[in-house]
Order: sequence, then C-alpha cells, then structure tokens
Amino acid sequence: MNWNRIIFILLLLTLIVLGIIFYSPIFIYLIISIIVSYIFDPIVSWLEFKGMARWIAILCVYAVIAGLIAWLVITYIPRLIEQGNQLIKFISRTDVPLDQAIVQLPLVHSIYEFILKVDQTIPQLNLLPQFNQLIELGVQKLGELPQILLSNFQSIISTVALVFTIPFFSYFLLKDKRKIRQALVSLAPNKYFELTLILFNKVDENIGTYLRAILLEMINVGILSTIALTIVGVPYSIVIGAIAGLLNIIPYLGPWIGGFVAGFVILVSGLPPIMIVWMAMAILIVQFLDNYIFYPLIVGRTIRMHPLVVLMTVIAGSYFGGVIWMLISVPLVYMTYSLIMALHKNLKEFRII
Amino acid sequence: MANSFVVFIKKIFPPKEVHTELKKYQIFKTLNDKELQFVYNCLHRREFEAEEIIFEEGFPLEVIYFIESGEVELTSKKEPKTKLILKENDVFGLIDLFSGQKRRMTAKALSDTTLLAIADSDFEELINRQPSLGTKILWSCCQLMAKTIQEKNQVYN
Repeated sequence: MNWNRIIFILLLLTLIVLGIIFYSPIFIYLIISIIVSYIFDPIVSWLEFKGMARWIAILCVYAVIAGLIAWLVITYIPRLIEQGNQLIKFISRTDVPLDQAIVQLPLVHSIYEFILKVDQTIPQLNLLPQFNQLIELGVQKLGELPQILLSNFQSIISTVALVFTIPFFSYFLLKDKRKIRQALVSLAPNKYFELTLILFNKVDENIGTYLRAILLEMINVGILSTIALTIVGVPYSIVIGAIAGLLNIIPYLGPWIGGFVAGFVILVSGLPPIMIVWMAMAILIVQFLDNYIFYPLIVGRTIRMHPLVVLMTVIAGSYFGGVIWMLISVPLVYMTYSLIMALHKNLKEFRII
Repeated sequence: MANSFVVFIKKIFPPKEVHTELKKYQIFKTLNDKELQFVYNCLHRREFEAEEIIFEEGFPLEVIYFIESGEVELTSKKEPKTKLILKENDVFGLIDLFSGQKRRMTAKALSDTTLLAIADSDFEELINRQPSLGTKILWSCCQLMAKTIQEKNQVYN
C-alpha cells in the first residue's frame, strides 16, 4: 500500500461524504421514486417485451395512472373531505363546549350517570372529578388536531412539491433500469462479480415483490374495509377504510389498530355500542377474505415472521421514529433478514467465508 | 425540403445502435436487431487479466460467459485429463446451466480476456417473456450441443 494510493482513497472517501451531505435533502425523494419505479416495473417490462419502446411504455403507464388519479379525485376525494370535515366540525364546534358535547354522547353519558350514581352512594370515592379530568384531557388532545394540521402547513406544501418531482425521478429510474444496474454491477471486482449479481437479483426480487404486494394489499384491504363498514353502517367509512388499508402494512397488529380506530369513531359519533360488534365482525370477515383468498392470490407466498418479532419490531420502530417508522420497520427488517440469509448462503458457496 | 426535414429528424433522433457484433456467437446468430438489443441490455462486460481465475469448480452457477477476446482454460480436479481451451466467440457455462446449478470445471484466463456475462435469471426471463426469441435461442443451443456431442464422442443419438 503506497502513500499515493492511500491519499487517493482518502480523497475519494471525502468526496463521497461531501456528496452524501450535498444530496441528503433529496434522499427521501429518491427512495420514494425507487419505490414507485419498482411498482411500475413489471408493467413497463411487459409492454417492452410486447415490442413497445421503453420510454413510450412508461409514458403510457403514466397516462393511465394520471387518468385513474383524476377519476379518484373526482369521485372519491369530495366524499373523503366531506367525511373528514364532519369529524373536524364535531371536534371544533363552538355552540356547545366540546367536553359537554362529549358528555352528551349516549355512551359517555350513561357512564357519566353511572359514576354519578356511584358517587352518590359512596360519597368518599369522588370519582366524578377524575372522570371530568379525563374527558378534559381527551378534549385538549382532540382540540390540538386542527392546530397540528395548520402548523404543519409548510410540510404539506413540500409534500405537494414532492408529488410533482417524483414522476420525473422514477421516469429515468424506469427507463434506464438496465443501465443503472449494469453500472452498479460493473463496480464489483471480478472475484465478487457473480456474488454481487446474485445479491442484486435477490434484493431486486424481494423488494419488488414486497412493495407490489404491500401496495395491492393496501388497496385491496382499503376497498374491502370501506365496503364492509358501509354495509354495517359505520360513519366515515371511507376514512376508516383508508386507514385500515394503510395500517395493513403492519402484519398481525395493523388490522387490530384499524379496528380500534373504527371502534373509537363509533363511540365518539354516538351510535349504539352494539355497532362495535358488527364492525368487528365486518373487519374479521375482511381479514379472513384477505388472508385466505386475496393475499395468496396476489402474493402467492406469504412472508413468514413470528408475531413476537413483528411486535418487537413495531414497538422499537415507534420508539425510533414514530408512526412512519412503525409502518416501514417491518418490511425493512424483513428485507435485511432475507438479504443476510442470501449473503451468508452465497458467501459460503463461493468459499469467501 | 422534405429531405432536409428527414435529415433534421435523424439528427435529433439518431438511429439506435445495432449490436450486430453479438451475432458472432452461435446461439445469437439467428436473432434480429430488436432481439439483439434485448440481449445486449442484459449483458455485463468483464475484463480479466492473464492467469486470473474466473470461477472455481463447485461454485454456484449464476452467469454464462461469452468470450469477446482472449483465451480461457477450463480444468477439472475430478477428471484431471479433461482440459479445454476456449477461444474468441466461444461460450461456456451453457451446459452447466441445463445440467445443474454447479460449476463442473475451473475457468482461468490464459491471456488478458474480455468476457460478456449474462445472468441465468435474465437468460431465462428473455426466453420466457419473448417466445419467438426464446425458441431461436433454444434452437441454437440445441445445435451447439449436438455439434459438441458429435465432436466429443462420435455417438449417434
């Protein structure tokens, strides 16, 4: 190892670090673009093999997606906004103070009366002030909700900007997929060439399958939940359906959380509590349909992770970085796990370790 | 006027590079320009120095190599007598692809060698996705193997 070589490597490392710092603001854009390109790649490749130029195939896919989004915006979004508005209106109504409004809800009211009765029979207990305090706390948190939306105005704007940047990024990622891959593989030294190729294919396949499966699952469960909840008669069914679909990324736990959200909404909106049972049944049916009919149909093979590992991963994710990390930690851990397994197997087969 | 317009268009959209050089390999001989482009998109070009080991016996098979230039020597520990020397335009790894997922021989570059590699998964995808291309390639593979069999043991099968 001569000095020139060491200096060159040091310079190169400095440059890489500087590059990472310089490009760090767009990493998130890049990651989302990669996800988008993975989702569309099978369709584009299929069209390409049918004899269409790759860039035309991408533009065709984009046109279809744009049409779909336009259709969704026209039909679905107004109802979503309307339902969301109703929820916010309930939270921020001014004619009655919110804590009184909540106390007036049938279920809460019956609990309130029950506690009042208990307090009257056993005067020393003084449960009522505590109950009131609890409601006040809940009201305070609910009241902060519009505030949170307003104070995050800037990030909402940047999200809109992001939506317009991502198609450009993913266009080039899709179009030059082969070239990018060839360039990356060419970096590997000869000794590790085949190994790199195997790992590349493995990661490619895993990420691709996983992302597409997650997306289809989300859409599928979202639509099914919306339909089921609408049949049962739960209010804000579209919002809850969308939430349930999103939460379905977390295996085992997601559907439960979705169920709790639905149950909470039923309680808040003052419907008879028996509705919760119907809602639970609806969600169970959706999960059954999803797990035993649609999931095997869409994905083919299930990703097996022990419930304990999932639970630990989700909790650790929530400590690490909140809701977003709760959602992405499980796929991340799964991918890392499968990569390490493939790496170990192949390193042994190529007699490197 | 119309002519200059055509020239102008051609300047903006230069005609795509045609990879006819791939036709020198037996199994791509019958492909047309478009199919060659598909093949080319999957290829990786690797350069080996003289005496460098390309792969060893018993390694998992991931790629098929085409020799663009240079010489490659194939040896086997199990059968010390067999020793093959392959030259430009030859392909190796093809029989291993069909017979099993392990390398049966060790490959070593004799001189500075440029190889084109195609991953077996890409190769399979090419064949599966485009039946006409696949038929041509597989037909050529059969021809190549028939030739090899005839040369090697003179059996009529």
